[in-house]
Amino acid sequence: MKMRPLSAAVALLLASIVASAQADDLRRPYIVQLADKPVASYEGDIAGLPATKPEPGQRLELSSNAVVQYSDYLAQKQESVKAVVANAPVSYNYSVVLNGFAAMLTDDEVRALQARTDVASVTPDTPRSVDTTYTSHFLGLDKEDGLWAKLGGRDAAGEGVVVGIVDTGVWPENPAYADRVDGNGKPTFDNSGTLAYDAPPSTWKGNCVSGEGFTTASCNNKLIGAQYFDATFKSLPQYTTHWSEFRSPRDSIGGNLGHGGHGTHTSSTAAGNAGVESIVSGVNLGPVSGMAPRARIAMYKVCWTYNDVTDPTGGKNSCFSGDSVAAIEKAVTDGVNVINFSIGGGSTVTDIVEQAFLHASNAGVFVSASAGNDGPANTVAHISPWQATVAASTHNRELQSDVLLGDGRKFTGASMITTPLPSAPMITSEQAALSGADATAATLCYSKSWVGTGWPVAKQTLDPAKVAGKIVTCTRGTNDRLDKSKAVAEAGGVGMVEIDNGVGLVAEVHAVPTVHVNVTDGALIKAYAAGQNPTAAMTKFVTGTSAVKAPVVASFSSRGPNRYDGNQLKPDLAAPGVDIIAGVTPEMNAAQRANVVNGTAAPVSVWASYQGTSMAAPHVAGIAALLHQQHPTWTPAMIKSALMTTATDTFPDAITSGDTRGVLPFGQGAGHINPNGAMDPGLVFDIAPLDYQRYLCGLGVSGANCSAGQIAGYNLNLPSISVGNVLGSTVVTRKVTNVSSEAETYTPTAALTGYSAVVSPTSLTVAPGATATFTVTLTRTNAAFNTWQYGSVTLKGSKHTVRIPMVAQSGTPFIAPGLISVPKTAATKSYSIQTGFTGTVKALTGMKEITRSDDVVAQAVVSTVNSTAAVQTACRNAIAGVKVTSVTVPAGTLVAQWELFDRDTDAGTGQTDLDLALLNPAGNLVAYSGNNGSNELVSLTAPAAGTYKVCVVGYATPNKVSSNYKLSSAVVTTADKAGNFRVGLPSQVYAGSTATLAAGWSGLATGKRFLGAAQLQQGTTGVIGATTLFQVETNNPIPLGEPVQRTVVQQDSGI
Amino acid sequence: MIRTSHSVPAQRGSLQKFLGAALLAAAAAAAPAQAGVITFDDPNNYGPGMVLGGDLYQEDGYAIGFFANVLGDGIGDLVGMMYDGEGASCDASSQICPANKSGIYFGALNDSYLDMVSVATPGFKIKSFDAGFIGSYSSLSSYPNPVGLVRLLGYKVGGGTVTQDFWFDNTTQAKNFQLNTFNTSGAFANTVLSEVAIYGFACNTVNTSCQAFATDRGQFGIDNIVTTDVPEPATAAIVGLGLLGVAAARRRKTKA
Repeated sequence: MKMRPLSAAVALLLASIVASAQADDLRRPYIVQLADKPVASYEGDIAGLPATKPEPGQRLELSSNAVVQYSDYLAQKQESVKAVVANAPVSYNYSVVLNGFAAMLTDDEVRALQARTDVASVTPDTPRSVDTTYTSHFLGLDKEDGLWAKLGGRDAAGEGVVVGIVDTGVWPENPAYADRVDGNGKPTFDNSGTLAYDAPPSTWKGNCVSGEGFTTASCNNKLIGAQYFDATFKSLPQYTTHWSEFRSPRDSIGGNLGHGGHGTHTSSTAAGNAGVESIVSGVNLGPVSGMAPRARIAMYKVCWTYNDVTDPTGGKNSCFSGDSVAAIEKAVTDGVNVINFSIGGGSTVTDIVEQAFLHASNAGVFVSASAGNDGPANTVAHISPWQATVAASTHNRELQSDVLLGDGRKFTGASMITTPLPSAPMITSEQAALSGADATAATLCYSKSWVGTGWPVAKQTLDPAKVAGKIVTCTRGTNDRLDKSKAVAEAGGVGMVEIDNGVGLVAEVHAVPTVHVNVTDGALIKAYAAGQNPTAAMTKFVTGTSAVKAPVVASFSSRGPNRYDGNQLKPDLAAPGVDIIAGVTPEMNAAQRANVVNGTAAPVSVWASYQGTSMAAPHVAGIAALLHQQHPTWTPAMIKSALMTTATDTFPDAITSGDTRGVLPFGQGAGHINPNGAMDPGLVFDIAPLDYQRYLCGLGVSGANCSAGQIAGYNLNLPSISVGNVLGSTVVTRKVTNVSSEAETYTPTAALTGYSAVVSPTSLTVAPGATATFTVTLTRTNAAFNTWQYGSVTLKGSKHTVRIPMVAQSGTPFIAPGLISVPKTAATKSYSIQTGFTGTVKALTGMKEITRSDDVVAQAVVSTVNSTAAVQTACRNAIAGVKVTSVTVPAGTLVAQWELFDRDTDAGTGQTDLDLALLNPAGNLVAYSGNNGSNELVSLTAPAAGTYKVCVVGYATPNKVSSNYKLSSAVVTTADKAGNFRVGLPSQVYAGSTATLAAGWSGLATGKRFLGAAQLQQGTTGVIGATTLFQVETNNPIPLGEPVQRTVVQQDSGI
Repeated sequence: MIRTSHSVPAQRGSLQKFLGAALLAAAAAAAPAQAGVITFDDPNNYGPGMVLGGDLYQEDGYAIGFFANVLGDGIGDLVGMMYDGEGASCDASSQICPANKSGIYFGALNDSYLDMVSVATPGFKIKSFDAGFIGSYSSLSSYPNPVGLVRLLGYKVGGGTVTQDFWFDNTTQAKNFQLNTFNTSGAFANTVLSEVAIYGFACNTVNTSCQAFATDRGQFGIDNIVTTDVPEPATAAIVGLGLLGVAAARRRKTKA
C-alpha cells in the first residue's frame, strides 16, 4: 500500500507541483523509502525472519543472526527497486534507521518508483541550516545533591555514555576533547599528562576517519569517533566547496571568514570536558564544562560550506538530509546513546530525518533537536513526538565590574575589564562634546570613522581637550557599542560608563575599560558625573549573577502550536540558549588553513558566546546522557518525560499578550529543564514503538501494518496534552509508570481556562514499576472559538509532583479538511466534517485551472526584503527587486491562491530564492511565504473583494541580476465550473456531530493543475464556515520537498 | 453492556411512493425462482460516485432506492456513495471506510436508508449481506466498541413488520470497519418480505447508547445482499421493463 497523502495545510505546502508539459531530465536528490520496516524497528512480522528491534535498555547488535538475515532481505528488495532506476547515481543505502536509498533521479525515474507498491515514498532532499560554562551551575548540576553528585561527581558524570553530534564537525585541538589531565587535573593533550579516560565502552562500534587536517590521531578516548558524510552534497554539481571547508570531520574555519564553529560549540556544550579554561576575545572567563563532562563524544559531520556570493564570506553552510540520515544510521549502529541535532527542518512527521529519528528512538537512542530560531512566530520545527524539541532561554550569568564613584556609591554593570581602573576624573559625553556638535551625536559618542543613517560624514563628537585622562558616560544606541569606547579612546579618555537604553546589558572587551550599566543606574551616574569634581574607579570583572530574572524564553525561539498536528504540543521544553560560551573554530586565512591541512599549524583553540536553539538542544542532549547513565533501562520517552514533568516555569518575556508569550506552553513547552528534579520524577509517561506506529496510522501517513489500530495525536502518551479542537467534549487518556522504589498515591488535578477539565479517577495509587491510567475530559464552557487556552494537569503525591502542560481550543460550527488532493481528471471524494449546530448546510463551489504567467524579477537588496515588515514596505513601494502584480478579487471569491516553483526559475536547482507576499486592498501584508528556495505558496479563502498586490521578491538570484519565473494563479469564484465540479450535502446536520460530504468532477484535461473550493455556510444564517480546497493535478505530479524556512541568523547587531 | 437502541422507523414506502404505487403493484410479476445477489458492480447501471436522495439502483431483479429519513425524503441530498472496494474515494484524513473488497460497494451516509423491493417477484427473503461501519473520524481510537449496527426492517407480504439487528462489535475494532458477512437468522430469515428498509445506528462514545436518524453518523458500507426469491408465477414482465425505464431516467437526472 502506498503512503497516503498528508492532511491540511502541510499537504498544501508539500503536495503541489509545477505543471510542466515536458519531462525534466535534470537529476535532483531524493530519498526513496521502501515499505518494509528498517532494522531498528522490525518486530518479526515476516515468517522466518526474527525481530531485530532491540529490547528496552539493549543495544542494536549488528552482528546478530537476526540482523544479518533481515538486512539481507532488505538489501535484496532494495536491489530490485534500484534496478528500475539503473542509471541513477546512488549516494547512500539505508537499512537501520530508514529502509531505502538516496539517489539522484530524473522526473521519469521518480514516477517509475512512485508507481511501485514496494516503494513507500520518494522524497526530495532539501538543504537545511544549523540553528544558530557556567550553564551547568545555573542548572544546579554541581549542587551537593545535584545530578553530577548522584553520578559520582563531575569526574564521573556521563561515564560510559556516548553522545553523538550530527553537525558541522569538530575542532579536535580544543581541550574540551582532551583525554589526559595535567598535574592540576586540567584537561590537556600533552602526552606527559595522565590518561584520564580508558578505552571507549565495549558497545562502541564507531571509528575515526581521516581527511583534510584530520588524522586518526585527532581522536582519542574522549573524542572517540569522528566521521563525515558528504555524498549527497558532493552529488550536486551546483555546489562547489568553499575554501574554508575541510573535507574531513574537522569543523570549518570560523570567525568572520567562514561558517564553522557550530559543531564544536554544540559538542563541547553537551559533553565537553570539565575544567577547561575558556578564553573569549583574549579574556579568560574561567573554567567551563559540558553538561555530561565524562561522556564520550562522537562527531558526525553533515554540514558543508559552499561558494555563495550572496554571503559576505562568499560561502554558505547547508546540511543535506541524505547525508544527515546516513549519519544518524551510522550513529545508531556505532552505539551512541544520545544524538544531538541542532539543524533545522522537520515540519512533518514523514520528513526523512524525522523518520530516521523515529527508528533511532525505537532502537533506544535519545534525540534532542532544536526548536528553530524563527520566533516569536509560530514556526516550531522538529514536530515529531519521538524526539525532544528544545526552545532557547536565557540564564543569569553575567560578567560584572563595579563602578566606584568618588562619593562612595557603588554600581554594578556588565564588563570584561581585566585590569582594575584606578580613580580618574569623570565627564559626561554631553559636557565633553566638541563645540557645535550635534546634540544626539554628543550623547551617543561617535568615533572618527563612524557613518550611518543621518550621519553620512564621519566626524568625532568628543573633544580631546575635555576628555583626556577621564572616564566618559556614553549612551547606548545608533552606533555600535564598541564604536563608543573607540570614540573615548580616540579622544584620550581612560574609561567609559555605557548607559543602557533598555535592551539589556552586554559584557564585552572595549577599547577602554568599560562598565555597561542599566538605565536607572546610568541616570544616577550621569547626574553625579555632571557635578563638581566627579571621580570614579572600576574593578576587574568577576562572574556574577545578573539582576535580570532568568530563565526567560528568548524572543528568537520558535513558538508552537504544532503546525503539523494540533493534537500534540511542541516545543517540549526550554534550555539555556542565549549567550552560551563553548568551543568554536578559529578565524584563519587560506595560508593558515593550508598549514592545518599539512599538519604544521600550531594547535589553537578558541571559545565564543553563541545564541540559538542550536545551543539549547545540546544542554538537553548532555543531561539526557546523564539520565541514561543513571537509569540505563529508561526508554527515550521516559527520559524526555522525566525532564518535562519536573521542568519549572520560565519568567515572563517582553511579550505581554497573545499565543507567543514565552511563559506559555507554546514558548517554554513543559518549562525550563530542571536536571536534579529529573533524576527522580516519581512517575513517567512512557511510549512504546507500537504506540508511535498507531499514531502514524491514525494520521493516515503509515500505509503498512495498521492492524494494531490507530490513535489520535492527543492520545499518544506524551507528557503534555494538546487538543486542536474540542467540539463538545474530548476525552484524553494517559498512562503513568512509577519509576521510584516505593508505592505512592497521587491526587490528579486539571485546569484549563474556558473549559471544564475532569480527571478520572480522583486518586491513583501506583506500586513501583506498575502503571496506572487516567483520563481528562475536556468540555468547552466559555472559551472563545479558535482561541488557544492554557492550563496543566498535576499529579500530586506524597513525595513527587508530576506536572504536564495542557492546551486546547474549539473551532467554529464547521470543521472541514483544509485540502484534499487527487491527481485524477475525474473522481468523486467523500469527506467528513464536524458540525457544531443543528440545521442545514449550504455550499458554494467552484473549480478552475491554475494559470501560469511568465515574468522576471531583479535581485533585491537583501536588507530591503529580509523581514515581513521590510517586505510589506517593499511591496507597497514596488522597489527594485520586487515584482508587483495587481489582481482584482471579485466579491464572493472562494479562494485566491498564488504559487511559485523552484522548477519555474532560471536555475531550477534550488539555488534561486524567490519569496511571495500578498498585500490586501488596504496595502497591508496578509500572507507571506519566505522559504529557502523558490517553492512558495500564499492562499486566502473567502477573501474580501478588492485589488490585491501579489509581490514576487528576488531574495537571491544566482547571477545576482535577475531570475525568470512563472507565477501560478487561481482566483476561484462560483462562476468557475471546470470539471462540472459539484458537492453533495447532507439533508441536515446535528450539533456536536459529524456529517459526510462528497465532491466530484469529471472531464478535466490532462497535464494541467486545477484548484477547487467548497465553502460551507450555515443554511439559515449564511454564516461562512470552513472551506475545503481541492487540488487536482492531472500532470502526473512529482513531489515537492519539505518547505524549509530560511534561517534567521541569530547574531548580536553590535549596537 | 447495555445496548439501548433508539430509532425512528423508516417511513415505509418511500420507494413505492416515488415510483408510484400502481407501478409497484403491477411489478408483482412472474420471474425466475432463484437466489439473487446485489453486488452494486453493474457498470451499466451505476458507477462509482455520489448517490443522491431518490437515486435508484437495479440488479438481479431487485430495485433499491436511496433516501434520507427527513421530510421530502432528501431528494437530491447526499445519501451515499458508490465506493470502490479499496476505499480510494474516501478521504483518509477525515474518514474510515471499508477497504477490504474488490469491486464497488454502497456506502450509506448521513443516516440514510436503502429501500429494497423485488421487481420480479412479489416476495423475497434476505439470506445474508456484507457490511462494515463507515466512520467520520480518521482515528480508530475515536470510536466505542460496538461502534454501531445495521437494522433490517422487513415489511411482510401479508402486512406487518419484522426486524433484525446486526452489530459491529468485533473484538478487534478495525474489523468493524471492514465489510464482513452477516447471515440473517430466526424469524427474519424465514419471513417472506415485500420490501425491506436498511439503515444504520451509531453508538455514542460516552454511554454506548446507539442512535439512528439523529446524528448523521449512522453510516455503513453494504455489499453482496443475497436474497431468496419466493416463486409466485404471475403477470407482466413488461412492467419490470417500465420500471427500468423510470430508473434510467432518474439516473440521468441525478448524474448529469
